[in-house]
Amino acid sequence: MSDPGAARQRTRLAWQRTSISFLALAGLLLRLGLSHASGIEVAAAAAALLTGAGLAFGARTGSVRASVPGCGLLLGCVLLIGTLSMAGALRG
Amino acid sequence: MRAVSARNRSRWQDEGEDPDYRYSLANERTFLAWIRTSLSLIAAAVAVIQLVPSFRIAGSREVLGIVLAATGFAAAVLGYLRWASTEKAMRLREPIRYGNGLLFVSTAIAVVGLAVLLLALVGRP
Repeated sequence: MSDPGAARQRTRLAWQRTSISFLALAGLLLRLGLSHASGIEVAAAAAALLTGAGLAFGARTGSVRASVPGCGLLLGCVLLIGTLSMAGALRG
Repeated sequence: MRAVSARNRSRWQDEGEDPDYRYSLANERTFLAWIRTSLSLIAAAVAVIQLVPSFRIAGSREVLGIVLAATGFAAAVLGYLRWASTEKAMRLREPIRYGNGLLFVSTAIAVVGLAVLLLALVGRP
């Protein structure tokens, strides 16, 4: 199937970049969580890791695609990870 | 990539016509860019609170972190709303509306940057 402008490929790469962003955040949260003995941050790291791994798998297989439930779920993951991260960071 | 299944389709996705897939994919990439921006702001918020040494003004790190995190949350929500609004507009062949999300996020980041500069000039305890 033709893909003028490589739109599908660029979109798949965008999903991969997003996956890497989640994994990088997971690494930061895990490092901070372990150094500060913060279970909340470790939980946030686990959530970010799962999300990033899921996106990476979906991008690799080409099965991930924007939809209302899918984008809503991704938004929910970001808000959950952000909330846990801030809760852990502010607790000290 | 697979088409969106009927189970995952929202009501507005059944209205109008399917847009050119390239426009739809461009909209999707923009949504992902908002998500990555949100994650970066959240990471910055955590880093400011836990990695940056204390400033002379007590609690300033926490305030900066909260502002960054709130901006990150807003970026994620605005990105989703913009994606849905644009997708619906393309289906119904309506004009795409541009909100003030970019202005808000840009302003918040500029304010945080200015605050960090001022705090650095004030000095450390």
